Amino acid sequence: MNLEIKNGCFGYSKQKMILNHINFCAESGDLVAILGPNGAGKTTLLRCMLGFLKWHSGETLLNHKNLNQIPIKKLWKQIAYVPQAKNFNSASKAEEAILLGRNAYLGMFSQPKQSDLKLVHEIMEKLNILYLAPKSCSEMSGGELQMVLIARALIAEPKILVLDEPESNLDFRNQLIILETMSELARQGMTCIFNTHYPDHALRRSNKALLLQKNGTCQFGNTSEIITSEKIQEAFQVKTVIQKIKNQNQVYYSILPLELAESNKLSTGGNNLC
Amino acid sequence: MNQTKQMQTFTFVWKIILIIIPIIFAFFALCIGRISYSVSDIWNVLVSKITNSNLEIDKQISMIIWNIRLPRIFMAMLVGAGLSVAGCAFQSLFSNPLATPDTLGVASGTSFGAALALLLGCNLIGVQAIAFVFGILAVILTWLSSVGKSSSGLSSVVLAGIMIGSLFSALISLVKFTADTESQLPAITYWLMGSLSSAGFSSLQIGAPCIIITVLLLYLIRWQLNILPLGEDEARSLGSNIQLLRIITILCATAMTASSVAMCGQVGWIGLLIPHICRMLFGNNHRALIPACISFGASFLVIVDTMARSISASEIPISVLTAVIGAPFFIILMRKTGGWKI
Repeated sequence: MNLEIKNGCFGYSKQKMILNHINFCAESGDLVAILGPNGAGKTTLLRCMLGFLKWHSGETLLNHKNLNQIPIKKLWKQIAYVPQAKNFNSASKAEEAILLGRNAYLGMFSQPKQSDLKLVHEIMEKLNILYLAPKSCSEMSGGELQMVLIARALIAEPKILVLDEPESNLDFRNQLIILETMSELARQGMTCIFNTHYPDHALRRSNKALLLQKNGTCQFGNTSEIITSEKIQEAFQVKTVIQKIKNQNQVYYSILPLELAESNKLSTGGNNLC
Repeated sequence: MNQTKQMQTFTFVWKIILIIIPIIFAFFALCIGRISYSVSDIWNVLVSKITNSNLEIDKQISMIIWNIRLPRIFMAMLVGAGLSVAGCAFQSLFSNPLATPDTLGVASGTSFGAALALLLGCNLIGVQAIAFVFGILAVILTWLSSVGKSSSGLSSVVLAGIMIGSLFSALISLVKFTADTESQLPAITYWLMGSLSSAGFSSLQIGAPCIIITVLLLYLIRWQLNILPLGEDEARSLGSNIQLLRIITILCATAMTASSVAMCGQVGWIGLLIPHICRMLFGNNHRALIPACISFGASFLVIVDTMARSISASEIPISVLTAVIGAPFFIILMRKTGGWKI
């Protein structure tokens, strides 16, 4: 399964493009991180990619076929989307919320069957969240809710999983659970694409990375080539150093922010919060 | 596996309860009234009418039960179920617990139509028809005023609904102001407070099919309704045609409300009360919620209407009773269950 963006451009008004000439390609088993400063358009990029917003020019291709030409039920059996957990405000039980993920397989007038409910329990067991089944989504912690949303996406048995900031607002144990789940899914051959605020997570987990710049252009390639001190400084206006950490014969990379880049120093009064 | 089994028995027992409750209440409502009849009288009348056999039955008993009480109870059940389902659908659609069948201005528009028709001296069927047309007109106006250059989604629809609703409320006041204080004004005021006294098989012919079809449609897509409270992107990512779902929901809920209000005036409260009670008992899953709203809504209005026509010599307006009975019941339940969230 192959997802590709060809020369995608998008802007909320025609005068100002937010995304300029985005090119991107993900294959089965890829774990792709999308990085960029606040306001660069990471979420917009995901929404365009999935067809929620229309590209101004350019297109998204799923297996070399334009995404907009694929019937919705067929499309959403192959791609699943995990929205940001903070926007979720349903008070239904976890079980029922996850069951909604089967919608792509059901017609307008049909009801989910016993086998669908069994599938819900299987997925929950696989993700170690079976204990959440009778709990209401409105009473869950951020980490629990994120796992429920991932379960809802997985129950559609997709080939591609797209996650919008899945590990934001979580403590580092829960971040680790989410990231480990994504790594495992990628190992099993699923394509995972996720937005993140943490270059560290991209370095550690993803094999490909897409770095969005403030002007809407992007760089895409292998993570080791994209997440470098120079490129990160260009995008975030932050000086960083990438460290190698050895622990029990394993090498880990970590990125440490040092200070704001020269032109953006706090003392000069020239910094912009976005 | 154990869990799924428990769920099944739970819903199975409830299904039977939900079917039986309205039937029992309807049967007892047939007995009660200015003249009370025994259960066996009712049974004999119903059996003889349905099987067309000629049992020895008093003509008068048969007349009262078959031509007066039965259509009225039938109408109460339909209107109760319709308004409850409409309220439930609007609350889910707008993710707002305060949404009622009147959110889009339907009830105000319908009421204005009825008041206008009464002012013009139309007959019963005319009042119903004009009321219904104005109800639909109000929703169309709401829809048109919310679809601007840059539509900002459902909240602008709600705002437009409130505006159109208040516009029609003002027009109702105008109609009342110009009405003849001796004959027309009492008729309009009485009608606005809601009453099922006009019920007969002929007046059911217009509204009943409309309510039955729309309730049935929402019942059939009840599982899909679970998608309504989700965000737009989220709903689309589940492979659902969210626009179509929203339009079907709005059309059905509007048609139900307009027919209900056209038949028996403003029956307040039910659209808020019953869905909330059902959500407290069954949670937010529409697979249970829609059948529960139908059953409880029908039962509730049958009870309230029976009281309205039998407590005192003159009939009590129905929206007075729905509030007087409903509000305390609602508050007790809310304190017990801790309320609910959408």
